[in-house]
Amino acid sequence: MPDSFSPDSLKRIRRLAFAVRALCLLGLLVIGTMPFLFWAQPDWVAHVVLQQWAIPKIQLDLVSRLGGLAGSLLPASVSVYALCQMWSLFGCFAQGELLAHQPAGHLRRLGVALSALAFAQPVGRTLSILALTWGNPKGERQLWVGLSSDHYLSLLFGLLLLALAQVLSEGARLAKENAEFV
Amino acid sequence: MPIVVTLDVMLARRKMRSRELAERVGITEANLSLLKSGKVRGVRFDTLSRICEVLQCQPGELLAWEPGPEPEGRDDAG
Repeated sequence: MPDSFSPDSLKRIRRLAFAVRALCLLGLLVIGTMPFLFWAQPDWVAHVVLQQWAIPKIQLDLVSRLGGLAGSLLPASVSVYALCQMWSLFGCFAQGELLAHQPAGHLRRLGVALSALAFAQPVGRTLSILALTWGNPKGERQLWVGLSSDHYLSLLFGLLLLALAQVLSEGARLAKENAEFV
Repeated sequence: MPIVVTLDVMLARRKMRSRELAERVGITEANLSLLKSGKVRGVRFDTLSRICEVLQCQPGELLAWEPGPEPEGRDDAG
């Protein structure tokens, strides 16, 4: 642990780490279960698809919903991976491991996950909608492709984290070198 | 090892223990031990200055250069 971090600063980081890890647990619980709960209930699916996705005709049989679930599991699994990296990153911070290569690695993988999420979200929705309309008669099947500012921000934020991970890695190298001076 | 730390010689001359020197200089005994054995990348000027002040000597009396291969990890500095 570098001497340059004051005890007060470390205490604040530990408090923040505790809060973030609690949020990660909550996120893992919700993201890990929500797709299964959502696709298990045809009424809920119908409501969301009609109201939010504005798709007039869909199939709600088990196979279509399983296809929809598979599509939504793509971004969900990337999100779970990102949350796991966040959990590990703040675990390092909670242990006072700040300027080190391990948290830099977690931050880099978190950046990769957020960048990947920018692509996984629209692809996942495209696959889900395709699965729900695949059983429609010819001419009523939909290949929906959409990008929003959320995806753009996710990509930008992911790239920012990748850059910060590089900076943290360099900081870790300098801290190690500094520790070798008496 | 091109740079040899001769701190132990000076300590013997001054009849001072490592622990006392570490306390008076303000570094840990472990770091002083690493310095004595030359297993450090470098010495800060303020540390060197305090050691010289306590031991009443010049930096040249604590460090010597000897021909030989550079230890790993030193040639990438700077």
